[in-house]
Formats: sequence, structure tokens, C-alpha cells
Amino acid sequence: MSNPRHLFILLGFLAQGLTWESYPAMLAVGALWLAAVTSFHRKFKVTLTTEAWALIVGCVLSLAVNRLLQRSAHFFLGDGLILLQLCRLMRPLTPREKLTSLIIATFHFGVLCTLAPNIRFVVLFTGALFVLPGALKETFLDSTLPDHNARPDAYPFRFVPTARVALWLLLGSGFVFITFPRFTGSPLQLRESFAEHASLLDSVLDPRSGGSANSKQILMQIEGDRVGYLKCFALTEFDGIRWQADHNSKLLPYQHTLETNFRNSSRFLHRRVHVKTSQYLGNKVPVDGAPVFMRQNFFGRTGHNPLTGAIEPASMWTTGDNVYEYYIDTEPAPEPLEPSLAQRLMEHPPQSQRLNEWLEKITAKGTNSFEKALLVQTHLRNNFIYELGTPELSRLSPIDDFVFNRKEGHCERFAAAMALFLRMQSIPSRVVIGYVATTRNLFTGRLQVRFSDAHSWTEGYFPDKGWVRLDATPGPSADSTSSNFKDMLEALDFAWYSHVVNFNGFAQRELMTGTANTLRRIPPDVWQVATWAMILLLTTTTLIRFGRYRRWKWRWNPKPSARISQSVVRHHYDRMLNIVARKGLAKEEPDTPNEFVIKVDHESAPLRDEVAIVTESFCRTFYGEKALSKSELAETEQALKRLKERCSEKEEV
Amino acid sequence: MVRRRLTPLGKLFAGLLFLFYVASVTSQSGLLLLFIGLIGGCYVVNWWFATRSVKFMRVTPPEEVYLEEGGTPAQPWRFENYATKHAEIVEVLHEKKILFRIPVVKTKESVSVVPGIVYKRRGVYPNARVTLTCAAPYGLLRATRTLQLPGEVVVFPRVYNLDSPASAGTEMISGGRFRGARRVSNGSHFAGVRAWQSGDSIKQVHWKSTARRGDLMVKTFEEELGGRVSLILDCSRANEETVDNAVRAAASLVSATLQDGHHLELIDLTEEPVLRLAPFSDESEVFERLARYEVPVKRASLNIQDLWRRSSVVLVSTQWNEQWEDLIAEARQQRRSVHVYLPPRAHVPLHLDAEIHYYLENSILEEPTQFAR
Repeated sequence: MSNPRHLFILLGFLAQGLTWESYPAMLAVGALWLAAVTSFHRKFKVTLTTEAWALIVGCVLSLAVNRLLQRSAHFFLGDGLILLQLCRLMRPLTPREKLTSLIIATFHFGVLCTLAPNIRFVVLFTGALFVLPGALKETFLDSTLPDHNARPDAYPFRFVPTARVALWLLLGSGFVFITFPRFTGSPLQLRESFAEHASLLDSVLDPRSGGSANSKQILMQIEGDRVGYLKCFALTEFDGIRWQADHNSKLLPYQHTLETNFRNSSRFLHRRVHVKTSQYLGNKVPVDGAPVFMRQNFFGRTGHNPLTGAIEPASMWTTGDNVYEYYIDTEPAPEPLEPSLAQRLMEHPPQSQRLNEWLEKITAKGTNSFEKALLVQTHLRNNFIYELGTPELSRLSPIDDFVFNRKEGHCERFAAAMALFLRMQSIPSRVVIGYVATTRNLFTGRLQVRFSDAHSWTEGYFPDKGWVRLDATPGPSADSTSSNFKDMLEALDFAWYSHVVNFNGFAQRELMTGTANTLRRIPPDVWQVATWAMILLLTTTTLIRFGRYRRWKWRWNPKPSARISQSVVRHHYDRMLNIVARKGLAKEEPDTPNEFVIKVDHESAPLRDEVAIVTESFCRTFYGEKALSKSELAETEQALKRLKERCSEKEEV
Repeated sequence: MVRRRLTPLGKLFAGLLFLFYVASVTSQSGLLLLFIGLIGGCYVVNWWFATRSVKFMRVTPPEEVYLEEGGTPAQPWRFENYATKHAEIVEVLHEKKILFRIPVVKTKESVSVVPGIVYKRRGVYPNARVTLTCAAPYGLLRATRTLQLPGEVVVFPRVYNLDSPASAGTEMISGGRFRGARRVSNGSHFAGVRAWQSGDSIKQVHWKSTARRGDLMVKTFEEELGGRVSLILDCSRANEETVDNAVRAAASLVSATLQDGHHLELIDLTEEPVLRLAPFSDESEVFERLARYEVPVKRASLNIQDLWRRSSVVLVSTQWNEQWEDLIAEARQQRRSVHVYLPPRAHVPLHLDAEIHYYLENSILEEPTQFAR
């Protein structure tokens, strides 16, 4: 179970389990792995044919279940491979089969990298950081030393890399991640992706029928106060049954001025919006008013759609940290509406007599169009119910069905009904789609916009007031559950997305360019000083390292090698011979070292002990090839010192 | 110098990395690059560890090792790791054959290992060709260092038992296996006694017979004789196995010839000088010559005058060469005996006046008639 290859296979299982987007599925594959490596290990006879069948059955099962659940079956092969791996976990494998299992697990893990760009990836990647090297090593050892008895008992091979190696691996991963050229983030690819995700928000209008309306996933965070309704786009065309967006209107260029005009002014409110992934925006820029200044790093020049009032960029991409900031005017002047557009925004098919009468009754007390609009809004808010997942309205006369029968629904029904009622009173109107952020992250202080914050409301045009927001939805309850820990996790998740997941070709180029620009801004004098400082640092470090190395070599272990001892003791022995030679005790060439000791004993007995010590060390090392310990070396040096002193004493006498 | 090369496993994973890189192009997030970096990091760790393992390993081989084919050396090699870290799975290769595989050498430790390799072919295996390799810890790439070590392993050709060829130019050799008709004053085989003659040494006196006969009697011994054999080795144009068989046959003939007390001259038609050996000489010199023998690119010419004037001719060859016909004819004219040793099924002329033998891998065929000429 502690086998690193088995653990890496488990990581692969968990990664593949993530494709099912359910924790029970992950737990199930984890439990299967546990059973295979413990209870069922070597209990069954698993043949190659069984494994082939397991693979086929796994693939077919995956396809069938995915079809049943109406899910994508892209990963059926990975599911089949899980069954194959399970079979292999239950029997002993050859080195080649172990390698195959490792590669399959690697593929499973590769799937994780493309599918789970969140905290789950961080957890599993950290596991892989320690387990994958061990699995590789185990595979290598099994192929080179298949006989476990041949491995030295006293030396257990280390499969988990040391913290130092793990750190290097992590740095290597980071280096590759930052520097490797990537192709994500090119304009060509962006156009394709927008074609696919052009109307992500469409799905939120009918929340219970799928989509991400109830998802708590954060799509952007906003820095700023008094953030209102964030408008994305508007539905302007009504055919009597449903509202649709107009895709043909031309954009008007924005007249931007300098930021200094708005900075530090209480009239203009500043917002900085961090977007998790630009694809979530569907090529629309959410703003909570009429922006007077805008700066951004992930979309191009923006334009204003006079029909819908949406801000639309010419192009949009994802970068390392998708940010745009803008100022809104809290006291905007009423903007004019072209008669042709006003006429278009009042078009609607004739409605039933009953509905006309009902509307007249509701608006009877209103003295002008604005008051009438407010009366309709108030009526809907007070007498209707906000409810998600209500049955579909009658296709023949949906508004009548809503007003007279159901009287309940989600925000889109209220917004659509309100817009129609305004048009029936000759007030230009449109259904607006956007977000209403309600929670603020306690950790970062940013307002968080989730998919579940998607909302729909109405805008009516009044000549003296301009476009006025009218929200007829009877107050949906805000999710106010929040905690420090949850907010911290969400802040981390958002930062991870912004800086890691979104790090693509654009972000890479930005980083490189930014670094180059920063370096370019450094004055030449600083460069010169820095260069000299580096040279000095390098020299000092080299000297220190060299000194340590020398000292280390000298200290090298309590057991120095015989070779080093030989050279040292040979030196001492020569010195000893020189010292005693001055006393007339020369060693003749045919004399062996021991014979010379005897000669010294005969001719100058007091020197015998010291000469014997040096000679013994010399013979042990030189002929016996034994290394001298530090104490033995010290004893030899002491004997040499004493010998020198005694010879000097004699001279003095 | 340390060379690094990707192992098959390394190439496999490199391909996998390339696939992942291609996949990362289509993936919106670049997290796959982190995984690529992790595996790439394993390559770097492998590169660093394997390089250190072979770079800081001091190897001391035995200087000279002599073996016979099929033998295993008994002298240990010493490995000393003077790096600051341990080394794992270090292999010593000689021409792609693994001499050693050392699981672990701890830092500042030395281990002595006897190679478990069996040298199956004769030849000289210089330690300079030995390489130290390591692919630990992940087996993704292999660092290799050619050691340039002194010494060599000399593998003698295997010798099998056979009778020595008939010799010629017989002369008295102390210890010779052949007996002459004459009686001589010294030797190892007592032949009898005879009356003392002028010039006989006092040491030759057989005192017991002298006492019994009353006259001085001296010991006589059987004459011990040895001949001369000229062995010619010609291995031109043959495959490796046949050459080895021929060399084994030549070595066996050399051994038998010298042990039977004959003089031997070995002519291998290379640029090396002719090797002439006295009876009972140490065979190692000639065996080493045969161990080092390589088929000459340009075969030296040979005349009958180049041989001893009185010797039998033994020709060991890998195939029949028509050029030998003149030499054999001349030898026969000089009444030399000629033995030709060839591989089985070698074509030999029918009229050839020589004794033909066929050698196998480990023996000489007892009944050569089965390969009828």
C-alpha cells in the first residue's frame, strides 16, 4: 500500500474521478484502489485476457452511464483504464507491466491538469510531487535489481524525495510553467472560444433547466463602494412570446478623457473589477452605470451599444490577472434617445383586451409615464411571488398566463413582463441581464459576484430622466452565509485562478515585457554598482566555499583514506630520518625500517621509542595500506616533536 | 568526461512530455505545464545524481588478470565514492557487458567487488575500455564516464587434451618423453650398469655393483629425446568462431608439444616475430601471444627455409589454402612429417601428402575419415 507506484496510481484514479464532477465518484475509485491493494491483492487469478475484458467493459460501462446521465462521454477510455489498473493492482507485475501502469497513471494525472484548475489540483499535484519520483525510482529499481534479495539490507532505498529535491522539482515546475512558450491566449483562439461561449448568461435566465445559475462559483470580484446593478447586455426584440437580443446594432465609440478628471471626486465612483476568466463575460463588460473612464488589460477598445446600453469590446482575451477599472458618474445627465431607436424599443405585438384593461386599472392613478411605470413595478413586487423552477408558461399567451394565472416566477419573467407593460404604455424599454452582487469577501474586502448573483431587470426610457432601472422582481433572498475561512479559501481560489490558471501567452508576454521594462528603467550607475557587487559576492562566495572545501577535506571523516595517510606519514618519516641523520644515525639503503629501529636502539637508545612510533605508523600505512585515525596521526606528530626536542637537548649539552 | 544519454525509459517519457505539451496548447489553463515541469524536474535530478555518482567514483582495478576462456576473475575491483552524497545503482560495463552492478556506495566509503562476468572468448580486454555508468535514481537518463584505467584482462584460449604431433630433428633433451637406443651417463630412467671407462665421472659409479663385481661399474640411463615442431597458424578469411577454434587447437598443440619435451616454433604469419620455445618452457608467453592473436590484414609470406632445418610441420588453418601445397611438397621432400589441422568439412586436395586432422570447438576429431576428402 505504501508502494509509491500504487500511490501514484491512486492519484491517477482520483484525477480520473474528478471528471465525474462528484466527490462520491472520487471516493468510490479510492475505495476500489484500497480494496485492490489490500483485500484482493493476489486473491484472484487475473490474466491478460481478463484485463483486456476489464478495459472493454469499463469503456462500455462509462459510455452507457454517461449517456444515461446525459453527460459528456469524452473520458470513457480513462474510466476503462481504471478497471485495467485495478486488475493489475491485484497481481504481481513484470517490470514492463509496471511501467505501463505508471504511464496510464501519468495520463490520468494529465487529465486532471486540464480539468481541475482549482484547489483540488493543488492537493493532488502536491501529492504527485512526492509520489511520482518514488514511482519512477521503484520502476527503475525493479528493472535493474529485480531480485529484492540482491538489494543491501542495511541500506533502504529512499523512494520519497527529500524536501530539498521536492523543492527543486517544484521550482523546476514553476520555471517550465513561466518560461515555456504557450499558444493559449492568441487572438485566433480567442475568437473561437467566444463563438462557443458567447452567451453564457443565457442559461441563467432559466435557472432550473440547467446552466450555472445556482453555482456559487465566483466569476469576478469588485473593489469599490456602492456597487449597484451590473449590467451586461439587454434584450430588445420581443416577438410576443420571448425576448431576444439584437446582434446587428453598431457600436458607438466611447469618448474617454483623462483619469485625473475623475480621481478624488465624490461625484465619480471608482471600481476595479478582477475577472476570474474572461470567457464568463461573453464579450460584454459588466458595469453598474455609465462609465466615464475605463482602463483594462484583457480586452481591447470598447464601444457603447445605443440600443442595449451594453459596453462591448472589439476583442477580449484571458490574461494572468484580468482586471478592468472604471469611473461612473453618480449624477449623469439624461442621455438622448434617437427617435428611430425609441420607436424600435416600443414595438410589441398587440396584447389581449384583458391584459390591456388590467394594465389600465393598475396605472390609473399615475399622472405621468414615470409614475405609471412605478405603479406597475410596485404592483408586481407586492402581488407576485419570486419562485425558481416554476412550470413553463403557456406558449400561446405567456404574459396573460403569468399575470392572471401563475403570478410567480424568476426574475426574467418579471423583467420581461415589466418591459412589455412599459411598451404597452409607449415607454421605450428593454430587458437587462446582469448581476447583483450581495456578498463581500471578509478577507479581501472585495465584493464577490457569483453565477448565482445573475439577475434580470428592466430599463425604461423617460425623456426627462433618461434610462431608469426598474426591478419588478419581488426581492430574491440574498445568500449571506459567509465566514472568514470560507472567504479566505475563496480569495485564494480567485488568486490562483487569476495568476496561475489564467497565465497564458498574453500573461507570459506581459510578464516578460514588464520584467524587461523594469530592468531597462534601472539607471546605468546602479547597473555598474550591481555588477561590481555581484563580482565581489561571487568571489567571496567562491573563496569561502574553497576554504570550506579544503577544511572539509582535511577534516574528512574520522577515517581518512590510506592514500592521504600515506602521503602524510611518508612526510613524517622523512622528517624523522632527517632529524636522526643529523645525529649521525643515517639509514642505509638496504636497511628495512624495522632494522633501522634496531640500529637506533643499539646506537642511541633514548630515541628508540619515538623512532619506533613513527616507523610503525609508516609501515602500517605504507605497506599495510591502512588509514591512520586522527588520534594515531596526532600521536605520530607528537613523537616527531619529542624526537626533535630530544635531539636539540643533546646538541645543547 | 561524463556523457549523458537518454535511456529508453527517458525517451518514452520525453515522448509523453511532448504529447502533454501539445495537449497544453489546446487547454485553456497551462497547468499541464506544471506537470511537464515536474517530470522535467525528475530528468534534472536524474542528470545531477547520475553525473555525480560516476564523476566522484574512484575505481581501482587489478592491473593484470590472466584467465582461460570460460573463467571468472578472482581479483577484486575497488570502488571509492568521494562525493558528499551516496551513489546508487552504479554499473561498470566492458563493451556493453556488465562487469558489476553496485547497489549502493555510501559517501566516503569504498567497496571491493569481484566481477561476476564469465569471459567466454579469448582476447585482451583492456581496462581502458571500461565505462562507469549510472541511471539512478529514476532511470530516465544515463551518465557514462570512460575510466581510462590501467591494466587489462588477458583471456587465454582454452586448452584441451590431445597428443602432440609427431616431431622431427630429434635430439637429447633432459626429461624428454621419447627414449633413444643409446645409453647415456645421466638421465631419469635407469638402464643398467657397465664397466668403467676412461672419462667417466666418479659420480657415475654404481657402488653396489662395483662391490659385487670387484671392478668399477658405472650407471647408464636411457637416452631422453625431444624433437622440433614448427607450428604455423594461418587464420585468414574466416569467421570469428572458426578463428577461435583454430587458436584453441593451436594452443592445445603448443601445450602438448612442450609438455612432451619438444622444441616449438610458432609462426602466426603476422608482423610479430617468430616465437621459439625450449621444451617444458612456460606456456604463458605463447598463450598470451595466442590470446592477442588477430587475423592479419596482410598475411606474411612463408618459405620452408624460414622454418627450423629439422622439424615437423604442423599447419593449423581455418581453411585450405592452395599456397600451402608447395610448402607441404617441399617439406615432404625434406622428409619432414606434415600435419594439417582444419575445421570440419574443409576442402582438402585428395593428392595431399600430409596427415589431416579436423578440430572442433573443444576437441580434435578421433575419426577424421567421416569427413572424407
